Amino acid sequence: MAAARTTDPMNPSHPAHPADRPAPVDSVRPANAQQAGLWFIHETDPGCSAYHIVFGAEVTADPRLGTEAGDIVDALTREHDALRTGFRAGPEGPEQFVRDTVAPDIRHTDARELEPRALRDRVRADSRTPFDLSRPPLWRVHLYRTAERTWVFTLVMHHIAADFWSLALLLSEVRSRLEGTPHRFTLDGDAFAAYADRQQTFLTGEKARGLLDGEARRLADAPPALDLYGDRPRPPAPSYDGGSAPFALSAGATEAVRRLARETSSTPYTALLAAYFVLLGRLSGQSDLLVGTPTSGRLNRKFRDALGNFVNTVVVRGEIDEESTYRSLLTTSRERVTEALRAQELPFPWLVRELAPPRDPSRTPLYQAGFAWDRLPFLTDMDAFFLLEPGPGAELDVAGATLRPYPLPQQEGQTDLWVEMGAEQDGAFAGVLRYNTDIFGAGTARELAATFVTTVETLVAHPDEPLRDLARGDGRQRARLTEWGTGPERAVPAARLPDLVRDQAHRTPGATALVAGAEQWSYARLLASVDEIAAALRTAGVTAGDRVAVMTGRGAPLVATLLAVLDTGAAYVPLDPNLPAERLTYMAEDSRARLLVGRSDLRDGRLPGLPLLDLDDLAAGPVPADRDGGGTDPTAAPAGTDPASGTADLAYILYTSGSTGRPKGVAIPHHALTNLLLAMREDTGFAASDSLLAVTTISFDIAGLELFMPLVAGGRVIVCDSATAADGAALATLIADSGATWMQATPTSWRMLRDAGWKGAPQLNVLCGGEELPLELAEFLHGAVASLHNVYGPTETTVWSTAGTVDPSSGIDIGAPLANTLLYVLDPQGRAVEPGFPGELWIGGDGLALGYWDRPELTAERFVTGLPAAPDQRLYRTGDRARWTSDGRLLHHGRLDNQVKLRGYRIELSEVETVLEAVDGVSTAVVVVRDDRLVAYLVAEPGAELRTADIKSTAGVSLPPYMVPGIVMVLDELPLTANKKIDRNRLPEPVVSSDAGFEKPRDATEITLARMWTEILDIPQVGIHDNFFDVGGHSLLAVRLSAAVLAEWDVEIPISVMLRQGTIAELATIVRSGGQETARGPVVTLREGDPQRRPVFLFHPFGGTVFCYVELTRHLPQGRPVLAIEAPGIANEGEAEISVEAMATRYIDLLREIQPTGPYALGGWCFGGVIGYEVAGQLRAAGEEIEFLVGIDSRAPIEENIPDSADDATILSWFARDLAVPAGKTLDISADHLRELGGDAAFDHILERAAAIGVLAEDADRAQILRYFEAYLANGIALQTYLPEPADLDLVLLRAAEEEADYGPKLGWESLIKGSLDVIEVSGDHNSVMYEPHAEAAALAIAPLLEGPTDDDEN
Amino acid sequence: MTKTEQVKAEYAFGLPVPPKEAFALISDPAQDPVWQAACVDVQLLDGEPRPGARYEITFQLIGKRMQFTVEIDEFEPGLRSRFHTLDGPFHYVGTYVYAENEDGTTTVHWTFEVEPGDYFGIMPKSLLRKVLVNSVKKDSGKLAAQLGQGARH
Repeated sequence: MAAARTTDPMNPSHPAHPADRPAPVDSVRPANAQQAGLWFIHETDPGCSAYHIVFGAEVTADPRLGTEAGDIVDALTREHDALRTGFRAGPEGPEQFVRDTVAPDIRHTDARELEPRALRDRVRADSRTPFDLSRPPLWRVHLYRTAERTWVFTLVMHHIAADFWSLALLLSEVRSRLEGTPHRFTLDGDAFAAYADRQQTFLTGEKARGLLDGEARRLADAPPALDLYGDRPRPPAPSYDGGSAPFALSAGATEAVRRLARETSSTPYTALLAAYFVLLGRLSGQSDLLVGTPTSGRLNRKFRDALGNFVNTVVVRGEIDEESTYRSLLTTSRERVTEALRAQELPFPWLVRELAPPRDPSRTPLYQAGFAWDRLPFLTDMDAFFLLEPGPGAELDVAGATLRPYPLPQQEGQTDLWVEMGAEQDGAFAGVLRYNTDIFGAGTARELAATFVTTVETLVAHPDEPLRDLARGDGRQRARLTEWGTGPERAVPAARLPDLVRDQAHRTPGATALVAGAEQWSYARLLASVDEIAAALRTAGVTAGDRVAVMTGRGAPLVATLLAVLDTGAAYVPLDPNLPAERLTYMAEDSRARLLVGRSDLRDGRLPGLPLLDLDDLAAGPVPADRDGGGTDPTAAPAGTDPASGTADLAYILYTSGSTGRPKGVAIPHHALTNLLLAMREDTGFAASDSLLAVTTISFDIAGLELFMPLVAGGRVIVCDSATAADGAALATLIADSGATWMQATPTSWRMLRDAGWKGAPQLNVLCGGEELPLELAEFLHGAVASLHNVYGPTETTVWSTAGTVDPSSGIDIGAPLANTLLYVLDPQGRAVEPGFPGELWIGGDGLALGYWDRPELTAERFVTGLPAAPDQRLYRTGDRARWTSDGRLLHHGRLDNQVKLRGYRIELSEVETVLEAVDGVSTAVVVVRDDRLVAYLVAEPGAELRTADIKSTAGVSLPPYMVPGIVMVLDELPLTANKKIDRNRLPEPVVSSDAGFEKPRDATEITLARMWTEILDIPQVGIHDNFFDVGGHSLLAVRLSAAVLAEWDVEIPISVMLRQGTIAELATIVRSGGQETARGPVVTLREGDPQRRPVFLFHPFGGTVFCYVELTRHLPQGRPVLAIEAPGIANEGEAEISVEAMATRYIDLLREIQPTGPYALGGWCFGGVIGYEVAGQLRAAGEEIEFLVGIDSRAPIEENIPDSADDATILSWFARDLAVPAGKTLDISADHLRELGGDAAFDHILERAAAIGVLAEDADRAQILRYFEAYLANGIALQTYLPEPADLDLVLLRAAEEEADYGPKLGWESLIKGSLDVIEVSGDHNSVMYEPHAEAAALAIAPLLEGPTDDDEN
Repeated sequence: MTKTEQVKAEYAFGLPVPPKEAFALISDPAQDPVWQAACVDVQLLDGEPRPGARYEITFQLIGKRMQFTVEIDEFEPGLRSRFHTLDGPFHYVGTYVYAENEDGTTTVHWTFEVEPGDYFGIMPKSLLRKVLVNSVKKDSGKLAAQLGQGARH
């Protein structure tokens, strides 16, 4: 491609290098596949610096050496295409061009005043300055002068033009020339370009096809993503921002790696990759893993000495079985690497395109973790220069200059995780872990790097032990786990709760203990009431160890009653009077309650088997049970034998929902309750001056904290009645009026308050728990109240086990363990998992329940003693997934059973809910899986109107497509359990909304987009809600689509937008909103076809649009272009024609622009056939030939066929009906009704109805639809006034055989057609004939006509 | 379309007869049903047409049947005529102006100013104008053909 030249045109005095060639002109060729991939990434994120290759060194030298080096760089630039290459968009995708001359980009900065740290920051920032790929050179040199003879020197190259090998070759070459020593290589200047040609040829060959088939088999059913639990929610598109964490193995481990590699006939690379697989398997919980690993791509000797980007990535598919050993894994990994390398000639971006894996724009395709082994076979004395932590003392003399390493992080953020190794430091393997900062913080990354080192060291030390027996981390990490997971040790007094309250009452008898409405009780009064009720209970026969059911309204007596039951030594069973009778009966019977304390009016005939102690008449003693009620005799029942039963320490039994559908009782001892109250008192600092507004029903265990904690602190309980607690506005008022300083509630309740307009309360401290705290709610509360505490704990560990103040800016964690509480994050074997790894949360300590009441098997299953992590502890298994961060925060990652798998993707439903709740107007969201689809149930904020399409589209900004619910249902309210938690079991059956599933294009914009897609993707049809990347689209095709959209509408849609809003409906919205209001031609290209062949012209039917021909075109034989003529009034106001003759005249002008002379192929459905008749007649009159004229169920325009005259309301009614036909829907609105509404109101009514059933795009603009109607009306008028004379024409008439209206066997055409009239019966009726499944039959009937001459010489 | 919006339609057509003959056909309301396809019926209320004379005319157009009482304002045979509605679903004013061509034939300039109000519902005024013009165009074309030589444009 290049001939020799002798002088440098930029510098004629410059001595010619022997390798110089005559000045070449710019050359252009398609980018090779790797380059195309990088170009695409750059297009989506032009600020991306993740693909910068950077070399840094500190140089002390004579300044003259710099001049000499500059000359060498000039010469090299002239010699090497790769140093003068740039990239730009071409019609078929990106193309590379080589400039004839390029001035090297050499920058100078005087840094003598800069502090070393500031200089380092500056250099690092400069190295990340993005390149403009269309403006070569795609490399630059920067010299920062730090002293008279010292510079920091950096070379930054974009990976699209060079790889690490090239960088080393270049450095090596400069060095050789400076030193005047012959370089061991002869650099090949244009091999880079030859490589692209060679690759292109290769990829079209048989071998590539065979390799691709092999890859398709090898990667079949691979997991769609590596699910790493990060510190932050994954953004919708990767930012390519990253960081680096260096690490080094010990010399011993390095030697062990080498030894094991030898023993297994593999390499250190494979041994370390296998260890990486182990790490990733444990981080993700997945066993099937894909890891990208780069290969040099310089298989051919010709390319070994060339500058350019030859690197290719192969995907190694690893499998982790924790039962197997590292040695066997190493052997397997060796085979897996070999399999992957077999296809290393297939460029990775090309492979992705061909395999078209499910696209998730938030992740890099196919693999999200990489492992690189960079080891140069030359330049070995510069090893230290390529390390991120080179160690002190490394320096090198080059041509009298002294070079010292100046390490710079680089190529960060390309994937979620990337480990790069190959270099050595003091005989030990060193490396760097690169990570994407979208997902990981620096601390976690450092921890991961350290964990990788530990993993390697553990594995090589125990190569023959099952992996499951080997620790993930080291002693240091495990020690920290114990520290983080252990709550403060506090002595818990032996005194029980009633005693503590009694003590308090003696200390402050006059202080207010309870406020309920207008009633205020002092501590003395409370104590008196407790004593009175307790006495009545004892009189009624209640003794220690009994259970007493309590069902009373919310008020001061409730608190007194609960304390009184405890005072007798019995346990209370709280019953919410709002619960169904059956459930109450079950609880009373299951707990074998001796007595019911409450009020007779609340009993309301329920629990007939229990004697009632009426609080309003204690002196009367208990009313005996109604034996006819069928209840059991509780007094007769013996105590159970399991540890949860029969103990005198039992404080209460709290029933929670059970998986079996029957509630299970959790038996909480006094000790646990006391511990909780004192621990929370201490944690919150609740004082005698504080008051707590208690809003929670007593059937929810957290009510215990609200009713009792203030009483052990000398403070006040303000008891909120049920009605106020359920009314956001009333509750907001009570918060303000009561002056409460604390309130505890679930996120659902806090949201209810917010939705009611509550703006917060500066004096109020908030405890939020019972459900996951969404970030957006935390942000609201954080700024609106005095303090926000997230509390976490299952009922089985007594209300709360952790608590912590929330700072939303650092994310949501669940706080630290309460006093005397132990937290463990364990693997399935019950071993502690180190920071960074997900595991199941187990809880031990003083808060533990005795177990499940009378459910010994369930108790044994959930309360376990003897786990490896804590052999002596009894632990409760929460079923929650959690993870310690490197700085000791405990993150909650949802329920283990709230995780679903859909189409192979692991989906955390709570994550989807969080995103939906962040959408404007959404108050609450619940997501469930029904029939393999995600269904979202939403409640709107007051006054907000939720549109499902908007919700999906907004959610799609934050979620990958597979996590966007397919069905969105908006409810007035969500069903709640008695505990104010969302009752997922009572959510209504989902109703598939109209925009789910396959839908046809609805307007000209969508039809054109659909046509582009089918052409670009080479697929037969596409629905408007299909995602481009889900139906076979990929980056390069997206480039083509973007170019096609630009050409059609002059609207630029960046590929990054396409990744997120990739459906036809979404793109059409962008086109409509971003399109310029330029007039659009009425010719719609339904199929581009072979431009050498004559087009088929189809005229619009009644209504003027041409959507109806999409299906027909799809089934017509390939080859001839198919063009449809839309009524001009569709696109442009005031253009509607109201006579067929005028239409024909106008359409002929359009035809002649495309095909100046006949023969013409004409046709149309319905009214389109009539237009075709007039067009054919006028063309014939003008002396043109007609190749054929087809009418598809077109009725002849004769007097008998003209419909009765119709007014505008009637035509509007038809218009509505016909709008719905293409969507396969029905929209019948009576003309009378429309006439009654009149004018604009009638039209708006149609728009609303059409949008409601998904017939019109929700954002379709009124003016556009009005134009449709204008065209429709004009057609109606034209049809009514067109009565042509017979003509000497031939007609092929397709008659819809199933049409009920009788217009005769030839639809009246025998009166008009003087030539041949062929009638072909096709399936369908007049309306359905153009749509599935009948369109295919019509196309088959027309197909023979299209087989006409392909030689268009006559045109 | 608001009630005050006006639609003005204009058209010129040729008739192969002298102006007076053309006037007798076009400006005489009694002849309207003969050459206007949309005209269903005419009743002269005050005898022969003249300024101040009234007539009742019924049209069937775009699916609507509409009856008007019209008064003739100007009636100058061979030159011009003008009329306006006194009663009916909406108001209109019509004018025919006749000009003799060199060959003795006639060019008729027709103008029609309508205030359709809400009568035609959502129909855009541009369309109504086209409907009106097209009616006259078709009718005059036919009339010219019937008169022997076809309309001149």
